[in-house]
Amino acid sequence: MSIASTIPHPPEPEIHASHDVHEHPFYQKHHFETAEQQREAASFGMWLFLLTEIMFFGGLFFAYLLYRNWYYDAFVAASNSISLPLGLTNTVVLISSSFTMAMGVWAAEIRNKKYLQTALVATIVLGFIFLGIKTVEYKAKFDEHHVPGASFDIADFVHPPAGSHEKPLTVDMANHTQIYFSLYFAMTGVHAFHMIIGIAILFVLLYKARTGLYTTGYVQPIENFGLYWHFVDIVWIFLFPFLYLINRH
Amino acid sequence: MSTHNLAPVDAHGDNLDAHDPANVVNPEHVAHHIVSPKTYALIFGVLMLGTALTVIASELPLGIFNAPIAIAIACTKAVFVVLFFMHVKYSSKLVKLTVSAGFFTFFVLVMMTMLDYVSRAWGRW
Repeated sequence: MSIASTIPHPPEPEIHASHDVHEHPFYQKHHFETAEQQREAASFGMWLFLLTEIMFFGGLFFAYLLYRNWYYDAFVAASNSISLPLGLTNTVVLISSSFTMAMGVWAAEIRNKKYLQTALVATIVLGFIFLGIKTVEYKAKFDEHHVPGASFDIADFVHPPAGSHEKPLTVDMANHTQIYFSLYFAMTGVHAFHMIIGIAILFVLLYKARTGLYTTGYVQPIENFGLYWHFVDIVWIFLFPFLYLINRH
Repeated sequence: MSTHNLAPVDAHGDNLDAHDPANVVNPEHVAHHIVSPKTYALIFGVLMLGTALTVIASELPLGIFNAPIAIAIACTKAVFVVLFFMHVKYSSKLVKLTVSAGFFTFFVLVMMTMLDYVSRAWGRW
């Protein structure tokens, strides 16, 4: 009796039933049973990431809420010093970019490469317009010495320029406008940083989309990026009234 | 429209490609829904309307109601974005629960901090 006959054969590799019924789509990873399950997992993961983002921005919003309560007059005066027309324009631009991104997801779903590329380019262009307008706003703040820090000047708030409807603030309250501007730059800055990252990812998606990668049923990267972009839009939907519209009347 | 390379869909607009009947792992069998451009355009209109409303409301002398109205409009706009642009309305229960649990947790954190804030004996020590 040879030794070989006593060695048991290794078991046949288990093949899941789903392997028999159909071929996998090229984008399905091996650790997923189905493409549907993979898609669900990807959406779930993306949402978990976005929830951490809610907590992150939420902390800033909460700081805003408390300080607005404490130094209301300073917040009103500082808020009225930023440009409502520019803020409103940016709101329209950003919501439009959310719309073009949503159309991009639709284009990927119906597998139309041309539409997808157009939507991604439109989103990129609108993203740059937003950042451009934001730059103009920041530039004005630097020119007016309204950036918190050593060069901050309270003159505009203690002695409002002639023709302004603002009531003059005390020196102490005028100094507290720096808290508003700190939050203004922190919140809009972090928001703009999210957009810069988003635009960089959009370029990658646009580059990869040219091969038709995302228009063959592999919608997931486009859809998940859409979730990210819409989230950035939601943050702005709250930033706009909070930062630009306090006590405008 | 007829020239598009459309993915096969059923009568409800659900993508048959992404819906795999062999999937026994996900008991919900969530069919993938393609949101139409018409819906997106409608939501875009709603968001624009909300933006106009919030600017108009901010110009009105409503006293203490200015802030709650602005927050209410912003929340309404955010809900429309989440439900339609972010497809939560058409997502599985898992995603719906995840999203609502996240917002609820944020709400709890804000409320707990606010309760601490308002219940302190400010200026009395």
